[in-house]
Amino acid sequence: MLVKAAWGVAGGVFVLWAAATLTFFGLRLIPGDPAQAVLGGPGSQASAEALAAVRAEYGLDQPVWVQYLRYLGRLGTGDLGSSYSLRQPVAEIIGAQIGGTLLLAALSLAVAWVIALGLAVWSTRGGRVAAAVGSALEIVAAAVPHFWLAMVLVLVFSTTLRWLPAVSTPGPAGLVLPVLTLALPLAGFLGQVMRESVLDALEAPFVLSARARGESEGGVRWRHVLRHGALPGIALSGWAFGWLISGAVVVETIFARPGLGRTLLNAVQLRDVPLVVGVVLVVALGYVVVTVLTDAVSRIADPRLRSAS
Amino acid sequence: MSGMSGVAAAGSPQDAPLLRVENLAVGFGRAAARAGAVVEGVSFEVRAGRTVALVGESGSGKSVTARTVVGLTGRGSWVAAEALEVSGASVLGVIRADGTRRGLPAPEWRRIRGAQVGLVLQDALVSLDPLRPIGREIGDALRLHTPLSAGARRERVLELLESVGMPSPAERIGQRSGELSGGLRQRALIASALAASPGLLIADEPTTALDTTVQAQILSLFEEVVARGTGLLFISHDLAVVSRLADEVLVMRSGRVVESGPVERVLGDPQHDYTKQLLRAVPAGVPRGVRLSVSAEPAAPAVDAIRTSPPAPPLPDRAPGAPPAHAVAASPAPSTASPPARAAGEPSAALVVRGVTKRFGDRVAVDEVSLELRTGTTLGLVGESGSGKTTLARIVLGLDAPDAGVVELGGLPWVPGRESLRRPRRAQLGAVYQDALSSFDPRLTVGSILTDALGGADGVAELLREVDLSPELARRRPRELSGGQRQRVSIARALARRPRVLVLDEPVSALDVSVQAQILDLLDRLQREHGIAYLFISHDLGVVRHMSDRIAVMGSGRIVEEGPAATVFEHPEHPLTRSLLAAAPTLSHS
Repeated sequence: MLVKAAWGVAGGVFVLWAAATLTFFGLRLIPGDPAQAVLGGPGSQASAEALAAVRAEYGLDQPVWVQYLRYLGRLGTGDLGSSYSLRQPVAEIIGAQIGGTLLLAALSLAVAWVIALGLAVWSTRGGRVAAAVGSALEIVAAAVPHFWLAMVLVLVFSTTLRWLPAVSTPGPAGLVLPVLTLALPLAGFLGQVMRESVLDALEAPFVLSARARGESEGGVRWRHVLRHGALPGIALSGWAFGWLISGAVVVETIFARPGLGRTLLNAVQLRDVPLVVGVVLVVALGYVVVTVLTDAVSRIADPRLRSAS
Repeated sequence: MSGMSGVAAAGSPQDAPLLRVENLAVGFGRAAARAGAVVEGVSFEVRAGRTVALVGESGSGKSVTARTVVGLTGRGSWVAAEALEVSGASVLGVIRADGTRRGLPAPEWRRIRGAQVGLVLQDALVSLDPLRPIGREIGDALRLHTPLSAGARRERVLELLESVGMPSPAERIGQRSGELSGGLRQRALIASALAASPGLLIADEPTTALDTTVQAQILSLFEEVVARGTGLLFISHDLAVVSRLADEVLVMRSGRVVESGPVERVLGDPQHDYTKQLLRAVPAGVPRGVRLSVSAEPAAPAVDAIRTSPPAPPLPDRAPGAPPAHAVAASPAPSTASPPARAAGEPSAALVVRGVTKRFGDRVAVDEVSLELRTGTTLGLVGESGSGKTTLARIVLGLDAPDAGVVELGGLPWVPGRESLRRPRRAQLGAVYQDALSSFDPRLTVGSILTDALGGADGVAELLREVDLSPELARRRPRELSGGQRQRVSIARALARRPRVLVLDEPVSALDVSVQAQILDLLDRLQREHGIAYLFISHDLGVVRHMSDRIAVMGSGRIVEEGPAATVFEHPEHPLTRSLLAAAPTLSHS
């Protein structure tokens, strides 16, 4: 058990290191001068002296491997550095933005779960037509791109019906459309795997046993099938978290909603290396934590995983 | 035992049967046209304290009949009967004005299920919800049918577990089916069916997934339950089990009852050909060389003479005029024309296992096992599951390396050693497994499976004929074949490269008794014709005895007894052998 936990931690550290390294070198591949970015972006007319001073200040005049090692050393101590563009410590910027994004992701995950399970259980109950409708809805939902879905939702609920604001405003009303934009495609994915396992569970001998015991259809679903249906959804939720964060980049931009996604997009456009790295690392850390959590929840929900390990 | 006593259908008239079925028909299709009938004209009664058995092979309609009694026949099914009564009350529903029938409403069925009729299915590993503790599963019937509080239900569940012989119930109540052994979880499943004290218990192949000794314990439990006054409808393919438990038996075939009556009469003096066929197919107590399956000629009657005199085997199935494909193969095995190898004096050792040990962590799976398999003979390896039989088979096949000991094949070292050195001699050793379907690539046709094994398309038809299959089957895929056909294909694949030794790991355990009989006859014929040595692994003592020249009994990784088949069976020396023999349900042949 301890050995397993140690491997888990080591794996998490490896993921973080890989994310930091890939981001560091990935950003070098983008053409342009980082020092220019510090001094106000490609349009600014910085003098050669100013550029040299910035390069010296940020260590950009050193060989790449020295920069890389220094960068890793700083990360090791928890120092994410300061943003070139915003002239603020990266940790502060992320601290200010992370709440909104986490709220968006968590709400979207919850809504996706409810839709997916509801659809899976309903579509396996209503006979062949319901099954076909459920399956079709899931496939369409899973295939829809975020930006398109966002525009359709805005067109229907803001422009036409005028029920909800088109731009994210503080308060619950402003969250509805962004959450739906993220949750519907995810519900399509989750629904497909959940329906599959709901169907398997409905065919399983233990359901026949339960019915032969006098259990009602509702009872069969509530006490037996729902849990079996939820299992693959739990396992997929770790992946879903990463998927939601990348979706947040699009959604926060479209709905002009403050958050990590928008911060990341701006930082990439401005070649703000420390900020990009900081956001990527925080997201990677979140991904590791969520994966560990979903593993733990899977073990609680499915005792077979416990005895097998 | 507490709580089990008040089951004799309290409110109903004393003389009304717990279950009355009169001219039952069940089908899947359009009800008005009575299309797709899978059960027809079935009639029987179950009374308190009595056991009625439905016997038949897969597809005979016995499970459908059982499920119809609790209204769980399945989607798209129709049910028609002159009478279908549980504890004297009809469960057929009502006839509408237009003559069609409306089934019993769901809430009424739910009052019957669990409360008046309990159902026990085959394997509790999947018949109890693997995600829920057994205590919750057993308590569900109480929650649904009694006003007991949660605390009182728990007390009752503990009593129930006690009454089905569950050791330390207080610890087990929180465990799930996957954490219990096969026997214990089957007891939990029975407790869950008995929880609300139904008068009638239906058991559908309840011991088929169990070891012989565990099966004997569970059958005793059923006997106890019946002795307490419960009526039992017992469904099985196993005639020996039925002969032990049932008062009355109905033999079913293709949805119809071909013969029924008291068990002594039906099994002791069968009138219908199919019943006789089924009984003859049971290999227990039948010596080698006696055909088990139906053929043009009757089974050899001189039962005692068979072993001493060389068998005069019927060889009717070979394709006439077709020379065997392997006739040119440079194989030391005798050709088909030569007399059976085992008649040729003292046979040499085809396979020798010496001091083989295999550990998995702290557990010793195979412990210092030594065996000798002589050319052209069968060595039967018996033991309960977990005794190390399959691990030993994997070592013999060179799939797992032993921690100590050697295996020799044809007098030369085989294991341990590098696989690259073994590969040229792989052709000498073949294997046949229980689950033929999963041993095939499902996308390949039978023809390409055998072509792969042969190393060329020549001889595929010949090989299929050798195992009594039509060469036309070469175009089919494994999924499109019956269980018996699949096992024949897997035997053909094993034969393709003319092995000297075949490792047969439970080769007939998944088959119906009459199909099993055909496969055993085939294996017997192939051994006589080609002098192949068999390492025959099975938990079924009847099958092993029928097939084997020598028997090795395995327990906890050791060979506890080894000797000629007749000696081991008639004068068992080790306590384990005796308990295995005592536990095996037997069927006396008439």
